[in-house]
Parts: sequence; C-alpha cells; structure tokens
Amino acid sequence: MEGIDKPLTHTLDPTCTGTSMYALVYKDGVAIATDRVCSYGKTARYKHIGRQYRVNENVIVAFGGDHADFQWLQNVIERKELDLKCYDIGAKLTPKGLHAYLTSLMYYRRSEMNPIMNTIIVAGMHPEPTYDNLVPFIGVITPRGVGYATKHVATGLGAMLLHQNMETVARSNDYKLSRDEAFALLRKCMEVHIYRDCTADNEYDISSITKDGVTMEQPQQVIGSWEISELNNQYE
Amino acid sequence: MSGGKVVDADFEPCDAFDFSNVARNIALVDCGMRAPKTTSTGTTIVGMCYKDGVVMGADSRATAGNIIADKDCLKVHKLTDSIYACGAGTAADLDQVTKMLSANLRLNELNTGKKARVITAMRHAKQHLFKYMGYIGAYLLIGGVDAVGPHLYDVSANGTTMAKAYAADGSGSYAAISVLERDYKHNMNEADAKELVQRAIEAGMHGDNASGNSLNLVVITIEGARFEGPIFPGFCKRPTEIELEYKFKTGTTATLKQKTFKYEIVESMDIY
Repeated sequence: MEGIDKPLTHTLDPTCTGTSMYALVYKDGVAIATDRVCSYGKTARYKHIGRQYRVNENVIVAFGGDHADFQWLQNVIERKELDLKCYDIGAKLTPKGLHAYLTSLMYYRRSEMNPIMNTIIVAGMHPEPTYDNLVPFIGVITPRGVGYATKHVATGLGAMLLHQNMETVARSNDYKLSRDEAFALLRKCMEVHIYRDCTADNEYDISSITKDGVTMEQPQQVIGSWEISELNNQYE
Repeated sequence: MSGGKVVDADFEPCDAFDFSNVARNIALVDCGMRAPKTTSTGTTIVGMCYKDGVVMGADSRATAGNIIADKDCLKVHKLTDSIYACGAGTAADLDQVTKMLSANLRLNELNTGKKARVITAMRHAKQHLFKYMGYIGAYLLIGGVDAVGPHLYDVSANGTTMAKAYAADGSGSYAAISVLERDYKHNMNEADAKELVQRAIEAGMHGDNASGNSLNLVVITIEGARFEGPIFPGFCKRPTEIELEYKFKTGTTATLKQKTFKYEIVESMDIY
C-alpha cells in the first residue's frame, strides 16, 4: 500500500522522442521544418513519421519530445476544433488561440507534476482582426508551460547550434525573406543539424503557411558534404 | 542528520593531488552541503586549416559565475613561433598548461636542434592531461605549421585528441561550429579563412552570454605567425560620446528682478 513515504508519482522521462524543429517567419507567411524520426534513446526507432500536424487551413502544430504525448495532444486539438464547429460550422482555431490554450494546458499538467513531455510550435496565419488580414505567427511552448511568440525559433539541440545562424540570416533581411530564401535557410539548418545531432535523420518535412493556406511539401532528403572525411586520416 | 554512514576511502599518497579530504567531502555533501562550483572561462574558441596554414581565434571574456571578470582576457597562447594554442575551460589550468607546453617545446627544440612539431605539443598535452583524469580543466585547440605542414588538434581535458580541419570549443562552440559547418571549404585563401573564423567567433559572442567583448586572431603560415587583436566587431563598439551643450542660453528664463551686490576684494587666492 502506498504510504506517506512513497507517494504516487508520474513518469518524468519521455520514451520515444522527436528532436529539433526549425520555424521562421518570411515575407508571405511562416515556414517550418522537422525531420522524420522518433528516437528511443539513441536508436532511430520509428522512421518516416511526420512530426507536423495540420489543424486547419491556417495552423500547423509541430512537436519535439515524447511521441505518445503528442498523439494524445493531437486528439485533444482535433476535439477542440470540432467543439467550435458545433456552435458555428465555419469557425476555426486561430494560431494565437490554440497557442494560448496549449500553454495553459502544459502549465497545468506541469503543476500537477505529470507533464506533457513535449516542446510545441504552433505556426500559422492569424486573423488581425478578421480573415481578410492574415498576419504570420509562431508560438513556442516549452515542456514546463512557458509560452512565447517569436519570429524565428530552433528547438532542441538546434537551439544551441542554429538559433544564432537563423537570426543572423533572417534579421539581415528584416524577416522579409522570399519563400525560396526561407526554404534555403531551413534546408541549411537541416544539413548542419544532421552533422551535429546524433538523434537526427536526413529525411525531413518542410511546410509553409500563407494566406492561401497550408502547403505541406513531400518529404525531402538532405545529404550534405562529406569531403572532410578524405582529409582526416591521422593517428596521433 | 538521519542515520550514520561509514564512507570507506582508501587512498595511496601520491605526488600529484592530495586526496585526503575526499572522504570528508563526500560525508559533507550527504549532510546537505553544496559542493563549491569550479569557475570556468566561458568561451568561444575557433580554429581552421586553410591553403597556406592555420587561422585560430578566440573571444576575450572571462566570467566568474554571472559577472564578467575580465573583458580583455587573452585566450590565444603562444607555444612557439609557429604553434599557438587557444584554450577553454578553467582559466588557471589553461595558463599553467600552456606555459608548461611552451617550456617543454623549447627544451625539445634545444635538445633536437629542430623546430618543434605541432603533434609534439599535442602529445605532451595529452599525456599530461590524461594523467590527471580530467581534473585539470584544459580544453585546447593546438594549431600551427611545421616542417610537415599545417595542423590543428582538438585536445580535451580527459586526454582525448582529434586531428581536425576545423574545430570550435567552449560554451559558444555550438553557435560557432554551425557557421563552420555551413561555410568551410577545403583550401580557402587567407582572407576568406580569416573572415570565416571571425564570423564563427561572432556567432558565439552573440549566441552565448559567456562569450563576448572582443576577439583575437592569429594567422600561422610557414613563414611564422601574425597575431591580430583586439578586434571589436560592430556590436561590441561603445557608441561614440555625443558632446552637447548642456548650458541654457541667457534669457531662456525670464528675469523678474535684478539686484547687484558689490564685494570688496581683501585677499584673493588661486584655487586649481
């Protein structure tokens, strides 16, 4: 029987996890890139799985961290979207609304000492104030329930590796990169990501959300440059 | 203190460190004492090989916790005329290790009559650091040009060494290495190599709060080494002081009454 010395605790260790995510505001909207693997520790356990979820024509949610927790969260988000439609068939979740809701939910669960072990990015076009005027939005939520909005983000190991790189490139163009420039930057991020992150995979998803809707591209591969291997054959 | 605990610690006396306090320290930590934290420099150091040699550089901020202890710390140490070492880790350990390496390399040159090789410096460093099992917190990038060509070695505090074409170390190494991974090419020319190293260090200075203030570079070729510094990137320059006239013109405030007092000067004294 559980006594005062051994209270009921919830696990704080994620099992199958997704790694970094990269998102960026550009001239026409928001672009987001994630790789397609869930790691069980250092093993690449589940490959070819997408880590981005399209909520509606204006919002994408992407996750890093525990896969199971996110699958549950996907269900919660889908039900929230349908709840709205019960009252008004044309109603949709907005990115800011969903971000605020998920922040409260993650913080609540963290305060219960039963956290949702995910880092979430909510990316999309927000009506300001109506759907005639859509403004790009990226909201980030950490596993402890800290929510913030930003114009570019790299999570996981990418935060330490590529955050500064993304800022230098995006800020020099005042966050008004063209779609091709934004995608080129995200591709470069994925390339450096596979050089330096053990739990990364070279197949990745890249999506964009503009006022015309969500476009989730086909999965792409990055190979990178491995010429360095021919230079290094020293034994010392 | 709940429950006694007997800690068995049996140490042979040795010439290196004195471990006689280890048992006491373990017992104190069990009682709830917080072990004191070791201070480190918090750094971005970068090195890369290019067509004619090696370019290395470092920032100049030394931190003690959250305070900047030294704004102009020199992290690029000269080992010989053609071999330099950039250091990250515990500041005191770095100074002593690089001094020791410099002395040993000079003796080596005098004994053999030949210029010291970069790999010799790396071997000395590795064998010294491994002996102390990582307790000497010295993370070095040793680079230089010798009779066999340009070399760059990454030496860790526990004795791991790797030969690399480009490397970064320190707390700002994540940000710096991503710049190098993006833009490094084999056989770059000197101007491009210097520009890349500077950009890598600047990324570390921006992205890491324990790196910053200014940066130092050294360019090593077969002819010798050229040390450049301190270089202040745009975001580190203090804004120029604007000299403005802060006095108000006479007549700005309307005068209502005027009264003149005449003093008789009895004695005057210059006060400077």
